[in-house]
Amino acid sequence: MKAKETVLQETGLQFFGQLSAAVSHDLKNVLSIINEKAGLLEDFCYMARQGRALDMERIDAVTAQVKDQVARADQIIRCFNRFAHSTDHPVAAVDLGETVTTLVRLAQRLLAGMEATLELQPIDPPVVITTRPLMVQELIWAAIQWTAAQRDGKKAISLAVERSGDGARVLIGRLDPLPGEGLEAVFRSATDAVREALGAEIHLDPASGMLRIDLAALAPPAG
Amino acid sequence: MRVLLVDDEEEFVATLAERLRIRGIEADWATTADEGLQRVVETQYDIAVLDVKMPKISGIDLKAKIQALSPATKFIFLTGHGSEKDFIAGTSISEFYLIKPVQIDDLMEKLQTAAGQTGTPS
Repeated sequence: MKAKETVLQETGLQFFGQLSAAVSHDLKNVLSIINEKAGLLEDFCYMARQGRALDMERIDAVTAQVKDQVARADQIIRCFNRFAHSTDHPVAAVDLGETVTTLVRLAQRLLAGMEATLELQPIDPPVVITTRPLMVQELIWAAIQWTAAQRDGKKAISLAVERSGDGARVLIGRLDPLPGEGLEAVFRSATDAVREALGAEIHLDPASGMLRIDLAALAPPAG
Repeated sequence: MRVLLVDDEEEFVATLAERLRIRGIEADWATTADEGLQRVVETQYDIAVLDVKMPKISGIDLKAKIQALSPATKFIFLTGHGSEKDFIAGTSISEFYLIKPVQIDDLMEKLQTAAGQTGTPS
């Protein structure tokens, strides 16, 4: 049986790798679009040299599309940079709303693969707790994937973050129909090591059909 | 030569189709497998250019579905990464793949070669 520390390192790396691969794919797509738009502008120049009139409105439109893709890449890189920095400190104060928003933006491609869309509920005021920044994202992402896997076809998954005493509560769902009794225990055991390290509890609320993650506030790092 | 392009990035696939049309190729495009299959039902394509990694279906699986509807169609695959290239390597389709970003001259060359196999005048 693997040591808990090893399991945590492995699952953390798998999570980081999964997100990184999705990001690299997104960036490659952006570059491919920019490449085609640049090629199209070249084609227009070539045709103009052959005597065809330039369609200036079309050129403006293509140029604007290139700028849109540059803005898209910038947004992806900003989010990925924020995500990458979540490994800086094992325990830190985390704004859960900002963290979940970043996670959802980075995981758009993975969500599309699951035919899922995520509806992040407004979080006001911000919910900030001391926790393990990378691990909390790993657990939330595992819960999103698990919830998506319980339903067929297209699914809209709601995600809410609330303050709960010193800690926080993340609500994901809803599951309709509700899975069989005890099914959430399968998810709980799959995420055992991460859950324990975060001091988190997971419950499926039969009334709302939401998967509830109760996160305890950890002791702030010394110094 | 009639070509179908399928890729989930609309801006990419629509622009690539436009560039092929500028080069005298009849090119249609789709952003989902269902849309692509619908086009195959409606139109006979000589060549289908498929993205390997799409959100709901792989280009490899889509190839099988298109082939069932249109056995004469040839295929070219677009891959984003070397790892996907490795996935294709060693299969019967390994001859016809391109890595994104695509160079239009390379795609034209692959299309001509594939068209040669179908006997389609380019």
